[in-house]
Amino acid sequence: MSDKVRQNYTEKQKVNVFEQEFLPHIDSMYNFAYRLTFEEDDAKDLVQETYLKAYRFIDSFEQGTNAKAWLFRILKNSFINDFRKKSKQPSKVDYNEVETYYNSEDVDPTITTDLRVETIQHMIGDEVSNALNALAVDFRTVIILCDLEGFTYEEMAKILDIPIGTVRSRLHRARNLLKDKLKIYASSMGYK
Amino acid sequence: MQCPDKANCFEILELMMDGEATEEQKKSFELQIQHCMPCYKKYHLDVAIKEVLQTKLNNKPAPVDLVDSIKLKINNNTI
Ligand SMILES: [Zn+2]
Repeated sequence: MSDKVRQNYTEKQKVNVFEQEFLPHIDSMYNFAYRLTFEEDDAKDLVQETYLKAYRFIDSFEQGTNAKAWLFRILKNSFINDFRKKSKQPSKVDYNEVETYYNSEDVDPTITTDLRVETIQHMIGDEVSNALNALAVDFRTVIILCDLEGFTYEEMAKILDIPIGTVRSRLHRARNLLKDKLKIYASSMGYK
Repeated sequence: MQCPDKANCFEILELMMDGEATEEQKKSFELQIQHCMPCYKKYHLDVAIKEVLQTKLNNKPAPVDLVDSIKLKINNNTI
């Protein structure tokens, strides 16, 4: 992910890197894009733009390093710079991240239902997906990167250009928020 | 029963769950947290949510024409 060493690939090597290391991630990239934009056409555009940029800047990618994280970082930046501006999504969340770190239990005292493991396990994909989609994009993003894509904290810090401490606090908050959404959902469905 | 050190418990639980705990933290998890019921319950719930996210969300394959369209654009730009 660092650009300290610039590669000097031949055209043939470029195509090789592109096909062997970049294209295999297209499904993950598409799903990430779709979970950011909620629109198939936007997701396609975003992925396409990401791959074109990746090709253009291929010399700053070192063959054999973490292509997936590198691509996700480009996609995330394209989303912020180009897509978020156009869309109606609120882009800023109020972070008091450091202060609320690990002090944010019992976020909403009105939700008294205790969410149970069995309740979660009985939920269907759409229910969980709706809860995730209801989170502000920055919170949704850390959950996607960590829990769905399995990136490490360190990789996430590079993808998002934030310190690891911020990754962890944001992830912690995101999980609490998600839990609240799931709780509200569970009690509205009469789950106990 | 109340947890004696919630902040520390939660921190280690989250590290465990994400596979980011050091050996030392793993040990402290085994010694301390497994015996802390409030936190252990929370841990199970968090793990269940993580598993549901990993297993139940629908993943769509990228549209079939997407790769072709990307390759076409690259070829047009480089020739
Ligand atoms: Zn505890």
